[in-house]
Amino acid sequence: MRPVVIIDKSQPRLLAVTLMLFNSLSYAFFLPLVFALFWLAKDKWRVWILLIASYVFYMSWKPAFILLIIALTLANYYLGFAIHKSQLHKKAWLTLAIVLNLATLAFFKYAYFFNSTLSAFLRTVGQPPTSLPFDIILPLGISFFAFEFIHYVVDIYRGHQPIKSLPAFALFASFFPTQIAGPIKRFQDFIPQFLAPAKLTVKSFDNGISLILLGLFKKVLIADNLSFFVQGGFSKPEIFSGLDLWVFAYAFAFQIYFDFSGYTDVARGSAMLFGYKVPVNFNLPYIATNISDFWHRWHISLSTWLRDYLFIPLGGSRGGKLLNYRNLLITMTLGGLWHGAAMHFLVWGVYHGVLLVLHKILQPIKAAVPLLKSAIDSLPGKVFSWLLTFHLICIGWVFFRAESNSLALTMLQRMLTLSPVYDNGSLTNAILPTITFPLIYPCILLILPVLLAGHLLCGYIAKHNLLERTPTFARAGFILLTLFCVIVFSPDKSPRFIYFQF
Amino acid sequence: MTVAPEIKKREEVSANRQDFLKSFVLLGLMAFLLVDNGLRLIYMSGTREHNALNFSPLKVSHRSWVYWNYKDLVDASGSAQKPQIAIFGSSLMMAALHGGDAVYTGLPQNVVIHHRSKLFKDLVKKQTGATVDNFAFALGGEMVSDAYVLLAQMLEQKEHPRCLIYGIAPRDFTDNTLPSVASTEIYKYAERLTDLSSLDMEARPSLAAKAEYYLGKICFIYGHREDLLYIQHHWAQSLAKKLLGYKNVELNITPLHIRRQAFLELPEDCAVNEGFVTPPKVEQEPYIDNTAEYRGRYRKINAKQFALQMQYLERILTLAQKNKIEVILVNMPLTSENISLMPANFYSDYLKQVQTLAKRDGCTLVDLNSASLFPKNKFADSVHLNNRGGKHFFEVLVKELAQDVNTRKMLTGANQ
Repeated sequence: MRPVVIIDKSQPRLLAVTLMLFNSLSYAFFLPLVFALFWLAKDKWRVWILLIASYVFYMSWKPAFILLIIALTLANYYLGFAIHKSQLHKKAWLTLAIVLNLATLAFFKYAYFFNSTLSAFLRTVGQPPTSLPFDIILPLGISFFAFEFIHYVVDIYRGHQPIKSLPAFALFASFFPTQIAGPIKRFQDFIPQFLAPAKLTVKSFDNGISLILLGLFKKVLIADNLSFFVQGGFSKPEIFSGLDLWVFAYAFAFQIYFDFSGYTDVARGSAMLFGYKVPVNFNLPYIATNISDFWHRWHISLSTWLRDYLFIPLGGSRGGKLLNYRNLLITMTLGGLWHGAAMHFLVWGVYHGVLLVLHKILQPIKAAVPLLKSAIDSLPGKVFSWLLTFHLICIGWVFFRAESNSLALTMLQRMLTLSPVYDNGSLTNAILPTITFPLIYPCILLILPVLLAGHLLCGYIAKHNLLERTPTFARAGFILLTLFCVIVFSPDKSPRFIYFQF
Repeated sequence: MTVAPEIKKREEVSANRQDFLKSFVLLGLMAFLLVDNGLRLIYMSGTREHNALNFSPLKVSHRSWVYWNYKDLVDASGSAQKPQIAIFGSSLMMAALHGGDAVYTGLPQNVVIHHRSKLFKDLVKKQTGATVDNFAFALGGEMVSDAYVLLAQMLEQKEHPRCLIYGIAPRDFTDNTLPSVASTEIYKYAERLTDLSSLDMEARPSLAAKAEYYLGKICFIYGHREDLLYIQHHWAQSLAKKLLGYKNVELNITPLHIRRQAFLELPEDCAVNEGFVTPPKVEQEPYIDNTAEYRGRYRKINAKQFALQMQYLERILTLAQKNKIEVILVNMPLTSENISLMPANFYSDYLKQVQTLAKRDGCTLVDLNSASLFPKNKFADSVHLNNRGGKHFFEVLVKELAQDVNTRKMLTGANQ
């Protein structure tokens, strides 16, 4: 098992841990073993096999925390029944269930954040800062399974039938392919798959393995190599020029996309090997031509969750424009904070909220001015919209990736200068073009446009369903090439998936 | 009536099995096995150094300090100037080597390619009259186990040195960040050049490390990632030259200290144009307080690792004895404040064990850890000598060795 050092000083104390990552050798042994056991077993044992495997998977991180998942599973399972059966206290049971899940999340994830915010406030009023009397370790995947539990109890309250089978319910939350970083599942889609007899087909096997390899390709070949580069820029922005920093921001945009979509592909592919489908999380986000379009393409399972369980309960688009804008801002701000208990995530959320509000404001103007509408809908207009959206997203990523808002502002300030060289004007200090390192470094300026072009190409392939029409030998060639690249070009030290910290 | 569904089910299973024969994933995996074994066969038709795939232990994607040392050593084996004395040690010896020559020659020393001590050579000549060439394999973070694999590799050369001067310090026996003996850059590189199969399993104590090792043996492509990376690196550089107009892609124009600062996670890659030690311009060289770093290093001494590294020292002495190489162990000078950071009795235990080993194997131990010989103004920090300290170190060492009849013979080769 690969040792993973989780470091995030703004977060609860995170440990140097051993974790079975998707991109580790231990997962390469674990998955085939579970696959073999699952398909060799009779139908009635398969849920149990996956449940035990999922718990083993989680315990490879920190065994004691399995108790947390089990406790939350039992609590939500019985609370689901209580909500369903109760006539008089339905709402009270629901409130209890939501409070339980949110309080658990808040304790583990936000205690340090609340404490540091309070301390900062106390300092400003001349009072001594407070400190937590204990250390908190952030359980992996808590943000994801807490949201799945909330979705479950809310939907039971809305009239759905609770899950009767406890092992199936336990597996819903702990299913190892989606356990740590989603996609956030819906029980109505997922549970029926457990209850129906599983069947291994060539299609699901082939698609599953292809997705796993594609995901690893994205993660280890693209995201991991980009991460070394990105790390440099974001840790020492003061030693880079404005143009260098733009390239770092672009690089991070691709790093996070390939990291997270790579993770999702491995998760979906692993689930497919057991005959299960989990939701799609990405749909070529960087081809979005406006910010609303982006959020329909980026981390779809989260954005739909936020829509269904936060935005709509807040009032959604009902109640006038201002309330709609307020609801959007609240949803995106909390969505930002969900990513991490730090001010820069909050700012990132607010930033996207503001962009969405601006988009909403501009829509009626566009509709009312025919000239503007035809200009935006023309090809050059679309290209401009796409470029603008992409750059706005990249600016947002600076807040997301930077370790603090002040660092993000330093970077953005420098980026605005568009200077090609470092302050003193000496070309020898323009670091970017002089770094020689395998794969990424000599060619970073070539690779980023290639990645963008590849992104657009993928959109074309998906739109015209070209993959389905690809001959078998070409697909086999794809498997050969992907496997080769994953083995050869994986860095020795593979950084953990970015979304593991959330 | 009950047979029909069973037949149907059987037919379904049979059809499904036949479908699997059309699986593009299985076809792709078979193609991978073919390619992997094909490459293995082509490779095996030649030797490690000369094979049809043009893989070479010296063709690597990142040029670490170890790479430069080995390159120089391999180049030296083909030249007339064959080293008779090998100098081993960690950064403590490395600092003395480069700094000493910088002061002695009055010229900047390119630490990437500076592996021979001119000062040492001239001092030996002056004290004994003998002309003796040396080669230093002193590298930052060199553990005793690394020194062992270096010696094993050196013995594979046609003519190996007859004397080994090995500078040791407690830090070479304990490193809290070292997961296994096989995880160091030196071990990984030596593995490319030398058959270390006798150490393979014990150097990898964890199951995962063992699994990874065997995977490298089973899967040719996995086992030769570094060679394939080199090819990719070479292509990437050519592309960068052609499309982006880079001229000297072999050189790193960005200063090493900036790259180190900015790209912490990067594997080490040094070019010949960086890393110089210059003669001191001021009377008192600057002193950097690194006690915080060493407080962390010494906080939890890994007793198991310490014992293992001590075993490797024993192996070095045995291997040297077997190959008629005379070993001079040098206990490197440290500041008293550094020693005070160690757990109680740790330093005395370390020294006692080294003394016992040296006595048992009949090798010379020169203890240069003396505050009177090396006062604080000879240090750049709590462990590394500064440039003038480096010069002083070799002066004291050669003087000590030349005074004693036995060690004088070792230096000059009169014993052989």
